[in-house]
Amino acid sequence: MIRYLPHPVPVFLFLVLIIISGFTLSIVVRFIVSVILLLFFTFHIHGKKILRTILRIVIPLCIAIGLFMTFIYPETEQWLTIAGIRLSQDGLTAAGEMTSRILLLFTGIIAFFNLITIQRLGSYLYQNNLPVWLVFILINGLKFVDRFKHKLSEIHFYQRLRGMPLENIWQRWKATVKILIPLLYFMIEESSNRAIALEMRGFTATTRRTTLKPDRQSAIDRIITVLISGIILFILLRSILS
Amino acid sequence: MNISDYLRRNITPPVFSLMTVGVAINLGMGQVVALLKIPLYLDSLGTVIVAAMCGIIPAIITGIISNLLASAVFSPAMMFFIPTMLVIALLAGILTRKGFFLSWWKAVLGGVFVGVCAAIVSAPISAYLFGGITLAGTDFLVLYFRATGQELLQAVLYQGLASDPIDKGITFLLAFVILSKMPRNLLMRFPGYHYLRQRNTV
Repeated sequence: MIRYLPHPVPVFLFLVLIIISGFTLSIVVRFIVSVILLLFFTFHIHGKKILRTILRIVIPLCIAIGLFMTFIYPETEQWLTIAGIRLSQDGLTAAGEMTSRILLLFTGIIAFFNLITIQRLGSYLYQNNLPVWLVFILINGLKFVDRFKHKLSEIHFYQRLRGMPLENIWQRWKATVKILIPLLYFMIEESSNRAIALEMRGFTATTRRTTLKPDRQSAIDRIITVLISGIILFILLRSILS
Repeated sequence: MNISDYLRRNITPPVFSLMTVGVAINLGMGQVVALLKIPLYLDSLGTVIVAAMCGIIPAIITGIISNLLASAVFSPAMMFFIPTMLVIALLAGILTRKGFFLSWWKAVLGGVFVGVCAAIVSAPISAYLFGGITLAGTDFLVLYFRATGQELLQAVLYQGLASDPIDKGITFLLAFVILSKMPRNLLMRFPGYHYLRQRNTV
């Protein structure tokens, strides 16, 4: 199990590298890089979570796109027949192109958000002069979703308790409005009260706050940053020159 | 006035607190849709509400953060649809200032227009990046148009034009209903208040 948790800068550069690679590498190389990344994450501290997300989201999407591109490709003229199923060469190429790109891009994005938590990203950005309100939205957005879901299930429960009919689609439509109005009113009013509380505590004061643990890069982080930057520069220069 | 001055003056605590709620609404609407089993996305309702109550810039920031967080929590595909959310935020803000949230039919009309624009913006992203497949319920429409011999981009655009105006029309209608039921003393705390109520009723 790899215990190394990287700094946001090399992870961000890694994401940039993956996005560039997704549009510049060939199909075979993209698949190979994706497999190497997946193997790496298998042994990483967050590996299980990353692999689960990839299996749940990326693999079904890749299969659906692969099948779609292979079988429904009307512009093609060349056809192959395998076990009675007609396949087109162009369709297969397009399927490989798209699935390999999605596998690589999505693996990179999923890895980015698992290697760097939103809280750590917000903290790092605040230390690098991002406005405090923007960090507030970034960090609290997900916390408010939990609050939203909790309040939603509460309102839904009480409305069902009062006998709100939910049999047909029209009744569910009416229920949507009846649930959304109290839910959003509650959320907006709560946000307004929170704003007053934040203002009282001097949240928008222009003086920068100090941090207990400044997020600095370690020696390994610096080496990785230089390496990835070099690779990105090389890829960009090569594509510009060619 | 440069952008940092604008942000310092306009992004006040009530506004950024509401933007956080807007992000939560965008991300949480999936839960409402799943709970009530209605065939829509409604994933831009928070952005539309923020655009109506706070203006264009807060709505754009809400949209970007919503899609970033959605790509972290739900699907990485959401990150690539940030331009669509930008268009929705921009148009919702402009339409609010043109008085489109003063009556329900104007809100629906505005929503349909935004839906058409959103479909036009999202079609190339969906076609070239995902081959038109996003594992949503509307994928069968792409399959249908593709099977009839349409180009991929055209098929995805037709699918978007068939589903997005309905979704955005209903999103705008919901936003109108919610904002019209909102108490005046609560709405008055936000800069968009004058665009949401008739002047003679102030």
